[in-house]
Amino acid sequence: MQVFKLYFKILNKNKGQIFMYVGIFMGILFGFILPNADKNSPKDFSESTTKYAIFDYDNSELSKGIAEYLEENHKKKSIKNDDKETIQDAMYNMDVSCVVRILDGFEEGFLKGEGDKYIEVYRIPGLSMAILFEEDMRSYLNVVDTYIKSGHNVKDSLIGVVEAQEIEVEVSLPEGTKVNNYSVAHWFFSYIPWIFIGMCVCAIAPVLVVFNKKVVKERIECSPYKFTKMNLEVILGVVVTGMVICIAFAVASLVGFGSDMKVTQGALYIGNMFCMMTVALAITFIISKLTSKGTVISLLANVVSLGMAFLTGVFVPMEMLSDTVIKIAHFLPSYWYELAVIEIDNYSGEVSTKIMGYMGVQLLFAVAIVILAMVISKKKRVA
Amino acid sequence: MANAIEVKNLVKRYKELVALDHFNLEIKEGEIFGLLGPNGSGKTTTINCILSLLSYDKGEIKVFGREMHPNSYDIKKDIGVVMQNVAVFDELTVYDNVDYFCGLYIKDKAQRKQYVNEAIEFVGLEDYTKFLPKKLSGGLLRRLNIACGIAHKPKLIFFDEPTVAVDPQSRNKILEGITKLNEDGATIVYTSHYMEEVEQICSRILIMDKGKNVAIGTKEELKKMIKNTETISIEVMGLEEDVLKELKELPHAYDVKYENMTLLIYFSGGKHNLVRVLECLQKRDISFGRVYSELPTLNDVFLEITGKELRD
Amino acid sequence: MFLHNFKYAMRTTMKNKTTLIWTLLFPIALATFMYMSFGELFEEEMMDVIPVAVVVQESNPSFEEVLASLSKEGEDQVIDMTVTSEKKALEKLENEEVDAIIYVTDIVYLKVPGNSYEATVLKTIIEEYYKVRYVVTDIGKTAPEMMQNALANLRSDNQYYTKMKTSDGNQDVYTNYFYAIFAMSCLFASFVACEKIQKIQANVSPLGMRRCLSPNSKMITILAEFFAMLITQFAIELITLAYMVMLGVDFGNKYPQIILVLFFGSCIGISFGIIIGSMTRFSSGAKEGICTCISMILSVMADLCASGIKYSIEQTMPIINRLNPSALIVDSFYALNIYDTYDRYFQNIATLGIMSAVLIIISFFIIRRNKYASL
Repeated sequence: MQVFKLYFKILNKNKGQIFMYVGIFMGILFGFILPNADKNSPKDFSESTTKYAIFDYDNSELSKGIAEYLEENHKKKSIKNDDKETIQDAMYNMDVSCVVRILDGFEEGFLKGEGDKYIEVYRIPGLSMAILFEEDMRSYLNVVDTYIKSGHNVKDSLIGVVEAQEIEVEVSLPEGTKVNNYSVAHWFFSYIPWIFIGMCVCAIAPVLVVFNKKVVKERIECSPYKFTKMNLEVILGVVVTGMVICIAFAVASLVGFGSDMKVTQGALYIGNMFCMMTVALAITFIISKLTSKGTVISLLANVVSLGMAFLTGVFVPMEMLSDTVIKIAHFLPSYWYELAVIEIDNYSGEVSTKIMGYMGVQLLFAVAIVILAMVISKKKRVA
Repeated sequence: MANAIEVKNLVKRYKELVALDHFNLEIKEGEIFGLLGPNGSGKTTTINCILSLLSYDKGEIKVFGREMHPNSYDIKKDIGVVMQNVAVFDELTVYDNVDYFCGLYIKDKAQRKQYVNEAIEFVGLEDYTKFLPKKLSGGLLRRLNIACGIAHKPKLIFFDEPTVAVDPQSRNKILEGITKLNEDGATIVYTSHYMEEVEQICSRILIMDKGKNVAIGTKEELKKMIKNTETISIEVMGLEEDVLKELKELPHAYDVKYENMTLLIYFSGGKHNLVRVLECLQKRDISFGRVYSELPTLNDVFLEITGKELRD
Repeated sequence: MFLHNFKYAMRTTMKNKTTLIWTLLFPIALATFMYMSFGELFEEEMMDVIPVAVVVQESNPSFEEVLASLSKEGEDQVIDMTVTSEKKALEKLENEEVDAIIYVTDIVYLKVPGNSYEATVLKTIIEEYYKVRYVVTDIGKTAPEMMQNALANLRSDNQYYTKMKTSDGNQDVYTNYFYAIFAMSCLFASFVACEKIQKIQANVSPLGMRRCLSPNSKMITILAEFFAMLITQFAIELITLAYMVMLGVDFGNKYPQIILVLFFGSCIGISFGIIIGSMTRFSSGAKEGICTCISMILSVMADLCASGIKYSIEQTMPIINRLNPSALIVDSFYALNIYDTYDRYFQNIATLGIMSAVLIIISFFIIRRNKYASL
């Protein structure tokens, strides 16, 4: 087991890369995904709401009425300062879609029919949710205006508008549909392709490169160590590394959200993750055959892992990708991984052949990549 | 002749290990000075200290009569170094490599061009100027390494084991070249653990071991330091104890060894030693094979002073 | 002497083709992938005509009138409706041919496949209809003479607020990803810098030893290498910028300022590499690892993978964003795009400039001494 041991000795030098990816993953998970994830998945229809911020400088009956109404129907967020740059930042980052500023003197102005001078609305241009919000507010003011023009006072008008808004249209979902809100586990697992590919290529490829080095290879080949045995031990080392990483992530996922998952569901997630690991290791293998420069490996690791992540819906939900991209994504293994994750997330008691199929496709990809790598390495040796 | 290098009481420690222990050295201008010692005896450390690359714990180093500092650019200008390891850019061709390093010393373009071409010619790489280093064989690479070190025509050149892993042909070329550089006026400091090389080209030799100065002088002087003047070896079968005893009692003989059917007799001074040995064997009617008489080598010097072989 | 060093620094950089090609391909490939996945995202956020199936269960003329006006072809068209039987409507819903089914009775109701923006729009439209009906009836009770006016008022398009212009810049949040590509590609320049700087240190490479012995100041060598790398990296960034503009990424029109960001971005990437390369405690493999780690982590923190991380950091620990070079690069682009003022832009640029100067000076002091305890 000399070669096997040597593999881990060299790998040990790259452990920093593995920890870095784990660190980044944890950072994104705890700092970003978990706080933003919708933990309860509603089974009924819920209206889309718009995130907005409001600054009320009038503090009149009417302005409070608007604020109350908006708060009931939309998601109020507070932003730090009422200055242009803060508003711009918040809107750019989609923290809020709209900002309403009610200036002093609004109620008086409104009664005179020049309320528009006292309300300022900022919204993200072109964003449909923001248009909806604007429409909603306009309609509210329109009703109030109508009441007032018909001789009601502000107080009665506000009562009237509230009653007018109370009519609720019934919205139902067809039998058996699932509301596509993803679970936290889904987010955890959907980041896996990016993490695994980046991690494996960065940490393992440099080790394989050492074994590929002509001098080292020839020296080992000269020894009584059988060539196949050496290769087997390297492969064993790579597989063990992959297994250990997978098991660590599996344990983390079970500790994190094991209680939210059914047993089969958990098993499917983990099985799917192992398939992705196979792909990641295959990619590592091919990259180690393509180049021997550390810098190039780092760059390639990022191009492949980030590129795949963007094209197959890791960072951007798949339903937001265009049809062309989805078509291209069919040729990328992580696409099938993500499909499987979505299916597993919707798991309702029976293991569909679909999930198995998705996993199978990933394994086929892994095999294809390994074969391609061997062809390349043979070509290189001849040349 | 003025001193090119003066080293006084140099001490260099690597943590526990004392690499140089109150080491002294004087090298005159115009010499080919050999630093001889086994691996790990401190040859490279000495050179790196002289070049001010290494810090040292104690001592004084002067080059061309001036104290040496990392920023003594006026001294560095006149120094050329050929390292043990090949130090060239993989990305640059043979010509560009020599031109780059030469350009660090010589500003005048026309002069530099001439120097670079001379250096390339000197090491015999004219046919390879457009080659990248990785296309060169080991011997040619060493020659490029030398060209990079000497192109600026330095007055003092250090050669740190320049012939390691070089084929005999290239080695002879390198040694001839070094002699030529010396004839052109350069002072040479040459380190090696190959005593033959040192013996062949060096005018003065310093033998060092474990960071200490063991002996210094011309090769003749060094050889005079030891009592051995001649070693006679004879291939002979089945010698008896009493024969060895008798041989040892021959005049001037001070030691006799008999191993692997080879008889070794060591003499200190005296003439006609070989005749006496052969007479002794003939008298007893002992038949023998090949006979050699050898003058002492630097290895003998080292062996006698330190009690161990130069090469391990 | 500087020129001589510079010439050869340039030459060695250019000759290192694999690295050069990959450092260029890296941002271009990423930009292509990102462009492909975001290309149509922004347009999708625009109002689209919503396909609906209408099932009439009980006649409701006034509501049908509303539907007809909403589906009138033209700029204001909101829905594209097909009146059909319930069975067929459900089929269409299943096949995703329509986004919703509107059941017309006295009390109109909706069937949708799930939560969506479209469903919310339809719901709002229907509720709007009932609201108008309620208000008109309500006013009819108290002041019947005002009913006609009220109806007219409800149907008018009176403005009740002033729309404010947020910014002249491109409001597309996905542009952030492209900014982040620049940041990452700048920081990845640290690889090459780290490798190169090791070649001038006597205790790291034989080449460094030889260069150490030449009668030249280290500062000249470092600066020559720095400028050679800077020019190459800057050229790579400019090519990337040209490529992204060609793809159609909207960076606004302040190109001279953008190019200045790229210049300082290249500076900071290289100085990062130089300082890492000059740390003698680590092996060159470890240094490579450190370069990757730092570039990755800083870039992720500046929104490379998920847009919004930088903003969350801004909300909790803004100081990190003021110091993270990656965030500074991204933020400079952002400030140019969104703000009318240049304060934040210049603050970012200045921080980048000062930081790289400080890093280079520190590494000069590390490398400057030519004497080593061991080689």
